[in-house]
Amino acid sequence: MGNKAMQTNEKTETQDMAVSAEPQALASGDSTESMVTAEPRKKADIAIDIQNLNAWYNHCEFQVLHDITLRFEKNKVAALIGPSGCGKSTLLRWINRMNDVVNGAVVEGGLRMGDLDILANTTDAVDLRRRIGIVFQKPNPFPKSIYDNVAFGPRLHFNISKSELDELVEWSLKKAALWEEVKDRLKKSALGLSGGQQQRLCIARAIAVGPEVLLMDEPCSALDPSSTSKVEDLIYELREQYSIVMVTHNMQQASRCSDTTAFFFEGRLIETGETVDVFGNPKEKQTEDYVSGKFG
Amino acid sequence: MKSFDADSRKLANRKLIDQLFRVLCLLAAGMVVLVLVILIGTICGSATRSLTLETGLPRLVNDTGTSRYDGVTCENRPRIGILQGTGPAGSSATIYAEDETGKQRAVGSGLPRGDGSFSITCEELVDGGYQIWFVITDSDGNELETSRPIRILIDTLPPAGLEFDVSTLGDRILVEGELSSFVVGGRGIEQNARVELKFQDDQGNSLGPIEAKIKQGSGWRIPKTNLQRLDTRPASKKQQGTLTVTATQHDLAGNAQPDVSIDLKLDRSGAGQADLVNTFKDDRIDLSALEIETLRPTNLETFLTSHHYDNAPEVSGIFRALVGSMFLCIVCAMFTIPIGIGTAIFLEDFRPKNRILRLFHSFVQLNISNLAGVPSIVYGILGVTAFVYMFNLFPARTVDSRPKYEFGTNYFYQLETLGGQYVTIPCTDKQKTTIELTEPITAYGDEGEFTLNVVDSSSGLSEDERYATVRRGKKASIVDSEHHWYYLSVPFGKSFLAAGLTLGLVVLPIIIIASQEAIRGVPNSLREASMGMGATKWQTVRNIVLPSATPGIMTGTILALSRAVGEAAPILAVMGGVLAVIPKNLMENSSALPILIYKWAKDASRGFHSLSAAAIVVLLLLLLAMNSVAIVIRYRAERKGK
Repeated sequence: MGNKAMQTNEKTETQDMAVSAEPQALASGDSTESMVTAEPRKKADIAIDIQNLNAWYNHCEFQVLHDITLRFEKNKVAALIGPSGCGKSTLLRWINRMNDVVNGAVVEGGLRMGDLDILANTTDAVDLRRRIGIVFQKPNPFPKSIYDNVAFGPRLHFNISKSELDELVEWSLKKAALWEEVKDRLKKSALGLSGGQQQRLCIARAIAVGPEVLLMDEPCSALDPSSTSKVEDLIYELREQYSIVMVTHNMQQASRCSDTTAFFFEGRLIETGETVDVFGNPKEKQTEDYVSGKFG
Repeated sequence: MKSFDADSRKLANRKLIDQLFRVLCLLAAGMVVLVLVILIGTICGSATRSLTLETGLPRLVNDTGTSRYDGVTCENRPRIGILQGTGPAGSSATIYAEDETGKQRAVGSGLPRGDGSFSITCEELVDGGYQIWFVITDSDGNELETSRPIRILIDTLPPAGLEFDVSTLGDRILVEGELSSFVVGGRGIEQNARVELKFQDDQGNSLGPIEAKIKQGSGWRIPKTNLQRLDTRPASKKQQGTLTVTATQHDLAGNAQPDVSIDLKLDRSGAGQADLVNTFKDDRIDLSALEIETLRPTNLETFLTSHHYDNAPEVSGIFRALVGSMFLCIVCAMFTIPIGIGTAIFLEDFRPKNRILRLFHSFVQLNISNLAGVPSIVYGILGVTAFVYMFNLFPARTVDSRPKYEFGTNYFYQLETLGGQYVTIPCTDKQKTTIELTEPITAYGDEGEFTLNVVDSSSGLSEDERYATVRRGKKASIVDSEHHWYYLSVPFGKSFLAAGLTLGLVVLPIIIIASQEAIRGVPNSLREASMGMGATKWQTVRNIVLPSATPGIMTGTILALSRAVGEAAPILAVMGGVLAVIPKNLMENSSALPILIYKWAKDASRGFHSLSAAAIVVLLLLLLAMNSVAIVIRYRAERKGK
């Protein structure tokens, strides 16, 4: 763990993710990408593209996100940090439209995954959620066997034979670094696993359906330090295959295992950029106060 | 690792199924609202007189062998109520009877009551078979309506032999020391001859002579009321005693035949122990056998397996009622569980977004608990309105109208051959209630199918031939029907299907509330996990929510069903207090344990009180067993979850 090499991508410029400091500037859309780096990124490298996103709860009574413009890159780990209630989780839940089912949740703005307009009415949320997996704060394995937990998603989505399913379950569990620990008790209830194991099981479950993006909502906050380190290692590994967006309250965690960081405060995106920059050389006063532990 | 592609057809199917179940759950909730609306309607008095608890018109039903059937309350004076006759002012109804010799006569007539209904009591009919029908005529004498004839058999005679209602006798001797409710009957040699009975016990108490006339069919009976004066209380502490019954027959010339007497043993040692065993020996007055012994404690096997419930306590049992209750419970469960769980899912997981549906959602939610508080008798009336009569949307059931829509039944014409045998002829067109026989036809008798001959003159036929022959022009009416096990009719009428559905309405809110609690208890994180992996709402409900909520749902459901098993009021309202045989199809009446308990408890005889208590124990054990099942299911599901 923690061997966080800053894999500086030459295309990644600080400004690229800092556009939202003045979100109005982008109001007219892509054509006025004045704030984007001089070397425009190819679309293929962007996993999730957020443009001027506003979100409300309670039928527009309470605005949680103000004009967020942000991009998550492919095969990178992006950390969203900020004090509680600043809208990080809401953003995450809009990315795979989990908030669809929340009564009174309203959103507007641009939210795209590649060519797909996530928020469009025509977009199929059910299929979208297969492509954008989510792992929650508290480990929430189904009260089924370990095997059935992982097989749940593939059974929903694929026409898959028994042997292929076995293979896929093994692959997912290996990928989630859980295989060695559970291979002898696949048919046992998942509720018998430890917290850390349960969380890795949830990750295995999420990757079994072959998502492109993995959203993690404080994946380690309910875990002890050793489980946390295992999950963090795992997150770092998974970056090879998936784009990961992670919400965390743990500054060290953000600095350890993310490539880029976005700092939210009271529903606004304050600062975003390479993790080293955000933590080492924050441009905004609020960011500096937060990362140095003066508040939050 | 090989990568898999999501199957788009599977996705489409999944979403279709999701929508389907959304609609189903919505419909389930819709039924709940329907119940509410009807309930309010019923309460507000939309239950008009046509929705009274009475069924059908002249309440004479075809029966065989006895006069103890619906509507014939006097032994030989059938009371005929025309409950839905809507005769205009000035109209009148006349009852006609045709006896076995083909003689027709009017046996009663009457004017409509204020609500247009008739209630007419026939004049006394002597024993024998009759076809009875009624005709409604207007003030000018024009026939407005003629009913289908019904075959009835008036039989006021007790079975052969001296019949003692001994159980009652025993009881009363011990408790009040009086002979009462004591029926003595038998057969004599000659019609109109007299029989005199004397009773004497070993204490010197005596009663009699009491006279009876031998009626047509050579039977006689002494009414109960004449027998209430014999005090057989022991004057001494003597436990054992005898009661001597002496019968003397006087022929028509007034000559007394030799006496016949029996000694009945009396045992006064304790309640329920009186023992009367004896027989008449002389066959001049054919007083052949006393069938029933006494109040002996019923053994458990008899109690559980006996089909009888109103003979003597010692041969009565709860079998019919137990099976009937189970049938009711099954109907109730099959109706309630899907709707209840569907509604609970709708309320908890399929919360609609549409504005109107949201209103509907809160309306249902608000009223579930109100419905749970409605007294069951109100549901009973609702059941009568909704299931028995179906709001009279279909033509009302009258004596000559069979249910409007029927499925799975055969009708028969019944007629008597020259040889006195009753045979049936299958009916193909049920609109044709009467046929006239002009040529040989296939008929069914005791020995199965045969060809019924039609002749102009019965002379010259052998005895055997007469049994398969009728006179040309003989008329036969539909009097008999045979229902298959899958027989269904609309409206349901007084049936255990209707009763089961009504019970279902009583427990529906309970099941919904319990299921809702159980579904609410499933952590939201599990739903999110499932949704987050791309499961549809229904898949989440089906795979995650329902399995986790099953123990709670099961417990609630079984508790609700055990309430249904113990519920008496709705059954009384829908089926009446009849204790029918075990139903052969959904449209028949059935018995139920609570009704049996009620019937036994109000019986005068103390023996039945004990049976009633025993039946209560059985009912409670049944409920206990059901609740145990609920506990076991819950326990196992909980263990499985760990």
